[in-house]
Amino acid sequence: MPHEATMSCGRDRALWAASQAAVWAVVLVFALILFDLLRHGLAGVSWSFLTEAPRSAGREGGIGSILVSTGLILFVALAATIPLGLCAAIAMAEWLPSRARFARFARMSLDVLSGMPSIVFGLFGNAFFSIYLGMGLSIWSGGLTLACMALPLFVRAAEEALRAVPESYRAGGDALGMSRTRTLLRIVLPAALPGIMAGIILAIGRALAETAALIFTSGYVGRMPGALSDSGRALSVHIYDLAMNVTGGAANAYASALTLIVLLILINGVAVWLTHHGLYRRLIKT
Amino acid sequence: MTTPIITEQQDLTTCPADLAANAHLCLEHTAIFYGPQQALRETSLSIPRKRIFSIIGPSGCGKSSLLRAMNRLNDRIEACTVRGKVLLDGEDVYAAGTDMIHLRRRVGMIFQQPNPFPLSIEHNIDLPLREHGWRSRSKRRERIERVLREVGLWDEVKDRLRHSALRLSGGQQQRLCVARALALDPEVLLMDEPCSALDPLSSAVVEDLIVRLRDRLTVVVVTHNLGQARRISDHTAFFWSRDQMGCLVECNETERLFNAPARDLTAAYVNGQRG
Repeated sequence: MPHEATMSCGRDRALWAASQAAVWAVVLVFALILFDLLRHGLAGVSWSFLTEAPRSAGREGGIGSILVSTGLILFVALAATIPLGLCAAIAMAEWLPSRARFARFARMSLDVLSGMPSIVFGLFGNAFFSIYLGMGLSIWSGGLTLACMALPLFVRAAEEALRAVPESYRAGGDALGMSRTRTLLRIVLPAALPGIMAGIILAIGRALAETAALIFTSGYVGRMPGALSDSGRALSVHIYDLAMNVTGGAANAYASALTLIVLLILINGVAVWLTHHGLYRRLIKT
Repeated sequence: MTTPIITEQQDLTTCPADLAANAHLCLEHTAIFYGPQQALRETSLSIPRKRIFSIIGPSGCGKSSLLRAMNRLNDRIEACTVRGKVLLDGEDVYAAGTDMIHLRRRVGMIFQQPNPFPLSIEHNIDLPLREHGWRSRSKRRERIERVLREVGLWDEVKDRLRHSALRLSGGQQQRLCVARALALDPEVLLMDEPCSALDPLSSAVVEDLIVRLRDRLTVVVVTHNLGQARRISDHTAFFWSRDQMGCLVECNETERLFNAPARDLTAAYVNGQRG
């Protein structure tokens, strides 16, 4: 217990104990989930499980095609989210503060969007992308629906990251006769990159975990997708299907869930490493 | 009889004629507003060429706002408006069609808090050079070495030019910022309390650096440190704040302003009785 000398009164102690207990509770929940998944799922995960196609509605075989579909959906989602979201975040952080009312309205819309249940996004994606734009149940409509969901999250994170860049960098750029665009591209954006990466991770996390929005948009088809216009079954949809609709699918559901969790942990780890080592070093040393 | 109120009718706020003749920067009836609130009363001032000009006065008297008006750094602040003229070599920097990039190249600025970019030491100077069209890498390198020598930083950093500028000490960072500004060959260097965020030793080093810039370029330095203004500057303008509005009280050669101030308020301030 640090600062022991300053923890003189009982209220301090109680607060300290309570917050410590809360931290342990959080860790415990995570550990329980991981333990449960490992216990039931570890035996099922193997190289052939990760590469083979599912058989018998997923009871047997692996998740090779599911992983490919998930990757493609994620790719479409990110390809739409990152450029669009970055531009929106730049607009909100760098240009719109002078138009406070519009910025407030934009921020409110994003907050409402990020609180929206995913099933609503699913229905919207189905109506708009699948039916109105004629994409059908496809990786395209699934990815774009996910982009709609991840966008508010990513925009707010990127906006916060840009706002956190000290104003003195912008004033310095101005004073050196650099155009605002150049200051933004060469100094402000690189400085905000760790935060923007965190936003991308949030977006990936949300996209990978999504089930409800994908059922109506990218569909159930477990086959290996041949094109982005094919339907593709995402990992989370596969888990849902195995657990709820397929008797005898529990073992593979656990193995798939374990794969998903490990994937998320890996992506998080890579992102943390990238922001702290790779990107940082590259920026400072060039 | 030391009621520090401006009573004399004689106008001391416009500079002596000899100053105006050699003026590099001229303020003509310059007034600054933040929204409806006026921050600086109409001010006229001549800043002589290749001399050090200091601006002193208590906090909130519009010194920094005035300094930022000289290279239009206030432009980013939507609510801020500047009336009157700011003449650089006779040309109003607020005229329509002013080339801002050119203006900022001619008029450099140093801030209170050293603000090197989160890049390497070398890149901090290289980036603005490239921005201003320096194509040749070898010429940029030469220039980088020259300005780092000028601010006395070369020997300290020549082996770690690729390290982050953020790892330098505060005083080194501020000298890097001066080097970065000098790299663009400005005619005027505006300094907004350049030493007040530094420890006494670093502060002395930066102060010596400012003195070395005399005769090379025009320096306008805002400072809270009266001793510093007295030590380094040729001319001093004293501002005061009344009704939350800054106004120029007296402007003169530094020696005369400190030793024989024309106004009671000036005398009270420089003697430490007011402010």
